[in-house]
Amino acid sequence: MNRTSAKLGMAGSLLLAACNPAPKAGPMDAARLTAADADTAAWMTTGRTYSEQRYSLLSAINVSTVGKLGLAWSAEFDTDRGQEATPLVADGVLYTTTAWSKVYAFDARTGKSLWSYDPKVEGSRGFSACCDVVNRGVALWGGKVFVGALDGRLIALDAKTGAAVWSVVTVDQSKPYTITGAPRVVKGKVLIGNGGAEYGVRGYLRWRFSLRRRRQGDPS
Amino acid sequence: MLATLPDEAATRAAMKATLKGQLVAWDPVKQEARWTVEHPYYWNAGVLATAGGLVFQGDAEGRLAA
Repeated sequence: MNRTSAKLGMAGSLLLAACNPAPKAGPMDAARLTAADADTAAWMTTGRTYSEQRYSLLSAINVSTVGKLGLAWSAEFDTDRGQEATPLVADGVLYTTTAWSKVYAFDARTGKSLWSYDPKVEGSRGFSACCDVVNRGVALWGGKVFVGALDGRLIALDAKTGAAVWSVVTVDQSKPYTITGAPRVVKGKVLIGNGGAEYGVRGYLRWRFSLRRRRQGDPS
Repeated sequence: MLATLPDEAATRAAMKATLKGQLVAWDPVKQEARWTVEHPYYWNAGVLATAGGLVFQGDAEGRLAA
């Protein structure tokens, strides 16, 4: 992966954003996300809908017209490390992330930078990531943008300004947990997972179940 | 990913020679590929399908193709 991949991802979203006028604007909520499939001008959650189909209903760009597509705009990021984000588009704003869990907002039509946020992940955290210091993108809800930082923080930003609103450490930071995934929001709850099993972390042991003992009639 | 390869040079070269990428349109009913696109590298992007009958994919060389 390299930085051009991120540009391509953004260009892909631009194709979608440019086709239809933006519908109703405002904070993301359950009604908008549940109806995401009908809102063809937007890409409001990482798989586009809760069913995560990554399928666009737009048809104006088709076999006959696709050859006319060209670059509308591009933006240069400040890191050449792996870029794996799926950009989101809502209300004319494109939100994306880069390596080191940095978050960017652009005017989707013009490419004008609206704000950026750097969680300042310590460089040494790169040793904890198997497959580069990537990030797969953000989630939107209630006027906020959520990002999982590589060091295990879940951070909420103001969608208009990019200012940090809150931050929660979701892992044991003494162990090599990493977050690279994009959060999802369901009914007002922000969901995030983490990686690290390849470096020995194993989550949190809540209970243990022995098949052998059960077979012998011991329910413990 | 290279960090997971063995240290021995000949083994590494042999393994790398087998690495490639492929975009596959899989028919789940017939359990067979309808069509495939070969990629010289294996670390390619996810895909976007559209009602316009297109599949978009970025590849490891930095190209976006439909």
